[in-house]
Formats: sequence, C-alpha cells, structure tokens
Amino acid sequence: MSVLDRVRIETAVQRYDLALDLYGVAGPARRGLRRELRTNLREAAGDGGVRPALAAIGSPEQLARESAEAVSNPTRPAWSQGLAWALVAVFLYWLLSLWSTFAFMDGVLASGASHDVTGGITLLPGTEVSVQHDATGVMGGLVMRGPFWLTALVLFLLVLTIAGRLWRPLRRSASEHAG
Amino acid sequence: MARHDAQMLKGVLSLLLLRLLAAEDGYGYAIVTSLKGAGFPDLIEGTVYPALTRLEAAGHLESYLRRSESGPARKYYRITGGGRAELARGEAAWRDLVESVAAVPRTTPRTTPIAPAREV
Repeated sequence: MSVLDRVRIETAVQRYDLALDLYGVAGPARRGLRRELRTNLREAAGDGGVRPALAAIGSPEQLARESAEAVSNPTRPAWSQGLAWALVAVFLYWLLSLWSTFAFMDGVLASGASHDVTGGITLLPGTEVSVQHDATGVMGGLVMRGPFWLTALVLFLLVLTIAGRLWRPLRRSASEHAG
Repeated sequence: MARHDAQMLKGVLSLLLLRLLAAEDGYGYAIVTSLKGAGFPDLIEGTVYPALTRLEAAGHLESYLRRSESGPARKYYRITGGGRAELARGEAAWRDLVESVAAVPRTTPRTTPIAPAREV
C-alpha cells in the first residue's frame, strides 16, 4: 500500500474519530472503534483498492453517528472538538495582535514621527507596541503583559467550554437528582 | 446475483449477522465479504459495521482481539447466549412474517357491484 493510500485511510479514520468524539463516545470505546475501522479499511483496500474501500463505508461522519447511537454517552463532553476550537481561537487572537502591531507601525510611519513611539492597543489589553523610526529605517516590538495572557486564557476556556459542551455532565447530575 | 430491497435488507440485517456468527466467529470485513458471497451483494461496510456495534452494545455479540498474520490484531465477534435467544426469536418472527405474507391472496376479487345505468 502506498503512502498516499495510507494517508487517505488515516484521514477517514481521524474524521471518524473526531465525529465519534462529537457524538459523545468515550475514549476507550472510541479507540476500539477507530482501530477496528482502520484494520477493516486496510484489508478492504488490499482486496480491491483504497477508493472502493472508502466508498463502501460512506461518509465517516455518518458512520460515526450510527455507531455512536449504540455506544455514546450524551453526558460526556466533546473534549477533542473543544480543544481544537480553543486552540484555533487563541491562534487567531495572536494573529490579531501581530496584525495590530503592524498597523500601529504603519501609523507611526504615516505620521512622519522620527522619534521612539510607545503605545497600547485599545482592544488588546496588556499589549505595548514600541516603534523606533529614524532616517535609517523602522523597528517595532510587541510586549505582552499579564492582561494579555489573562484574556487569552479566558478566550481559551470560553471556547473550550462552548465547543466542547462541558456542561453536558450537569445534565447527568440533574437527571440523577430528578430520578 | 439478485439485488434486494434496501429497506427490507436493513430490517433483517441483525438476523443475518446473528445467523452468520452463530455458525462461526468473524471480524467486520470478513463478515461483509461472507454476506456478499451468500447472496447479498448490495450490503456495504457502512451498513454492517454500525449494526455489529449495535448488536455488541445490546449484548447479543461479544468481541475479542485475535492476532493476524497480515497486519494488526483483528476484532472478532462471537454470538452470546442472549444473541442465540435473539436469533431464535428473530427466525420465528421471520417465518411468521413469510407465512402471513404468503397467506394473503395475490389478487383481490372485486366485491362492489357496478350500479346499472338509470333511465331518465
């Protein structure tokens, strides 16, 4: 089996795994289902090729949904999905900071100031941008202080909570109290 | 090989799987291949794998890992006592259904007489 074929199979397996997590299948059950699908796909690919093998399982997400109906735990948070979205959110926050720094530098250049300029960015608390502009060139620096890291942490936790549906276990305790 | 109605096939899939595994333990892909060879070429992995998971979750099947010479260990399924009871119940229900369907006449005679035309 070629490397590309292995990558195709692994991509389908990872999509299946992520969807299982989304549908509330717990770690050990998910690992078992993932391993089983990978083994079956490899054998089917060896018999008739990767494309027919992947076509026969259909959409990995749909397969995961049907498997999850049997083994899922609806009170379990979707940790993988929550973590993935939280990391994306923090990455975007960092990208925004970097972008704002360049915008600040452009502002200093446009103003024609030929001395050191230091300032903050209103919507990014805890950031300090310093720009040195003289006849030879321009240099910029970004310092991130406590409030910046705190905002990043709050953003991370907020997105993790929403995307990972961390409130799901509360349903279990609520239903236990009701029962 | 005859093609089967997808909805009907879905309805008896559990019965097929239990029958097959009552004869011999098997793993996912081999089960699909056996069923295709037994006259169900329309069956696809995407339908069979979740059905196996459901039967295992319901306690009709249990699984174990068996080493394979050609790759990683495979997950084999075997039927449980509860699965055999479910198989017996399913087969009886299937026989009843076939008998009931066979008992219904193919054509129903017309019972409503056509009214004669009235003279005005």
